[in-house]
Amino acid sequence: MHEPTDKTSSTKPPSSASGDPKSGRRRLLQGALAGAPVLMTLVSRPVLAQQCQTPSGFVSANASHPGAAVCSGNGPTYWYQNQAAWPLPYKTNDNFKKYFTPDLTLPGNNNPKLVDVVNPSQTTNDVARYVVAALLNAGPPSLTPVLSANAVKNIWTEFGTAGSFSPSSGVHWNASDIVDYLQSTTNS
Amino acid sequence: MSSPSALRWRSVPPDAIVWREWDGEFVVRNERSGSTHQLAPLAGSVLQVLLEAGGALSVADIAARLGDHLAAAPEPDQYAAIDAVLSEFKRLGLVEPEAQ
Repeated sequence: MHEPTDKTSSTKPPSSASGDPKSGRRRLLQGALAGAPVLMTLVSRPVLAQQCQTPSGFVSANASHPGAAVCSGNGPTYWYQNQAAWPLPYKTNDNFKKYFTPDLTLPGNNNPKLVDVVNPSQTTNDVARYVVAALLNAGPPSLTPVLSANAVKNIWTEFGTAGSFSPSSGVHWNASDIVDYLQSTTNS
Repeated sequence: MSSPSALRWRSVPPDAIVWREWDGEFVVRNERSGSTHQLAPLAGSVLQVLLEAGGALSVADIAARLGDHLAAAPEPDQYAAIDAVLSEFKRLGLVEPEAQ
């Protein structure tokens, strides 16, 4: 029986095609051209994932919510510290206004970049920090199936124009409520 | 005759991937999605190439780096097979396209 080769790709993947080719693998690759690339997928809950809700679902959420989605989003500090992990098409030096309306002004910075907004030292606007993180969590891949990129942008637009966000009729969230909700979709 | 897609592809961050190899088949865990995938040999090799590249690659780049593993197959078949792998990887969140 063959022992499995245990790898994390951050160290060194199994020997690549450009390295020491094995005739057996070559034969397998040639035979695989017409086959299914992915033979099986096991979907499991990430270690740090937690149940999460859409904004309207969050309003009436209780401790037991059958069928709730599982989220494994990251907070703004994670995205600030892991800029290489940002999903496309988002770039750290994209301006906030490229994705969000209305625009955001920070002290001494009339045109902040996304990375400026998630910077932990940016304490002027917590909602902005969290909506940028939520946008990155929307992926791809999506870490927050309850929250699309457009839904995140809409939260900011409504908050930025009306000063609050209404997740459902008659309910209005202030900045703190919005941050609480967005935090509920993250691991942090 | 098909030509390779102009899209360039990159894998998810390497530190999000953990994998094992048995006899040319790969079991890959994507820490970001929490999912584990058993990959056929070609798919495993394509993912290897992308992880080692450290940047985005086109289908033609990937085919070139696979080298003689695919030498016996006609080029259009190689590109079509790699395209199919990348499409499936995109659906699973293992790779992302990068516009040129």
